[in-house]
Amino acid sequence: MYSVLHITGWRMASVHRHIEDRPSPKLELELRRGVLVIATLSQLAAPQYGYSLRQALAAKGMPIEEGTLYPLLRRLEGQGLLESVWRIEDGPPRRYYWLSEAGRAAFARLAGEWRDLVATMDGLLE
Amino acid sequence: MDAQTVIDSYVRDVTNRLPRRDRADVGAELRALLTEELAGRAEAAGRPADEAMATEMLAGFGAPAETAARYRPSPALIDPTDTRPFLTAAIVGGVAFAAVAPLAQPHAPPKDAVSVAVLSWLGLLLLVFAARAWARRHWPRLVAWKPRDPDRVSRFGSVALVAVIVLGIVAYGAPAWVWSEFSHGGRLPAWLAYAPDFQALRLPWLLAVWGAQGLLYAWLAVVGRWRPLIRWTDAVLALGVALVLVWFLAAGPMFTSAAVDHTVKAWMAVISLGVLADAVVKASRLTRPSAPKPRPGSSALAA
Repeated sequence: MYSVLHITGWRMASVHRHIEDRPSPKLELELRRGVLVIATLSQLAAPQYGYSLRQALAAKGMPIEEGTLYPLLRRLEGQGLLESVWRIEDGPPRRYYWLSEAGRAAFARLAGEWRDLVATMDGLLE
Repeated sequence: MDAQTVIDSYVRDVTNRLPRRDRADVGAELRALLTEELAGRAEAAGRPADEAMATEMLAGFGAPAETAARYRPSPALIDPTDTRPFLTAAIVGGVAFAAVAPLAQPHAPPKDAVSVAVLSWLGLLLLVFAARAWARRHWPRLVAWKPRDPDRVSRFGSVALVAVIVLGIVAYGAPAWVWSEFSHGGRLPAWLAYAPDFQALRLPWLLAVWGAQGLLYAWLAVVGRWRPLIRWTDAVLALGVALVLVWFLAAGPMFTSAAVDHTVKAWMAVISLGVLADAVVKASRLTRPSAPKPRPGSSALAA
């Protein structure tokens, strides 16, 4: 499960917007890379397809590049954390993803760890 | 070229790098998502999507090979942690093989002998490191780090080594007798006969160094631990064996049969490099402190 947190080579749109005048963009990339999975899982309690999920994440301040997000959905599904199905609603066929039973449990665990981590980091940064 | 053709081309290049069973499904999803992304961009730009817009979007998406790797990350053939040892072994071994190859294959053009030796070495290294990475992934516990006492000696291993050395001395020193024993009185075939000069002048040196190594490992089996004097002696004797083998390669024939001589020397070149590497490793252990200590003025002390 945690291996997905460390997959390299990902790029995030919001970081790219700022990297030109930042001296250490790699550090920021590393920092944000770790939250991709939990951010994605957080928005999949209800079924979403790739594009709508990306829009939802961007609207909440977490823009993720499409080249990063779409493969991530497939990998999370491969790990049993998501389920998916092709559907035709108001438009072309789309593949919808949502949390599986294991995904809900993993998300709850990750969310708890994230809150602990935030509290710890707040203490360190004070 | 219209925008959809650009997307189709990209999707094809991505899916061609994926396992066959995933291609149709990933391709259909990727095509649908990219089409929707492009439509979103066109709407934001207030103009219809065209080739330039599609190409720009896909450039941001990443090269097809990168995208395929994100869909299905594949393990590295050589672990990143092994990069340095791999490069060291490749360079040091490559140079050593290039130096010895012309001696091992005196009848081949030097350029061909060097190319074959170096490429064989690199191929072997690749196999060894790939197997190591595979073992780490499949049996992490088996290859997990364990603390060890560098001075502790396996007495059984030392005795076994002595036995191997004694057998080697007998087999190489009296091949006719060994052949006779195993073939119930048969004569050593002519093609296995040593060249007279080699047998009289050069072979005894190897047997003498091996004899000294046998005595050393017998002593080690009794003592049970490496000590500085034993280590020094071991390194010197290993170097001695390597030098004797290189001398054999460079000096005249070892066997009366040219074909046998040629084959044995080719193998001996490889073995001599292994022995030389062993001697270098043993010597480096002697000069290396048992535990690294910070140097005065280093950042750890200055902090």
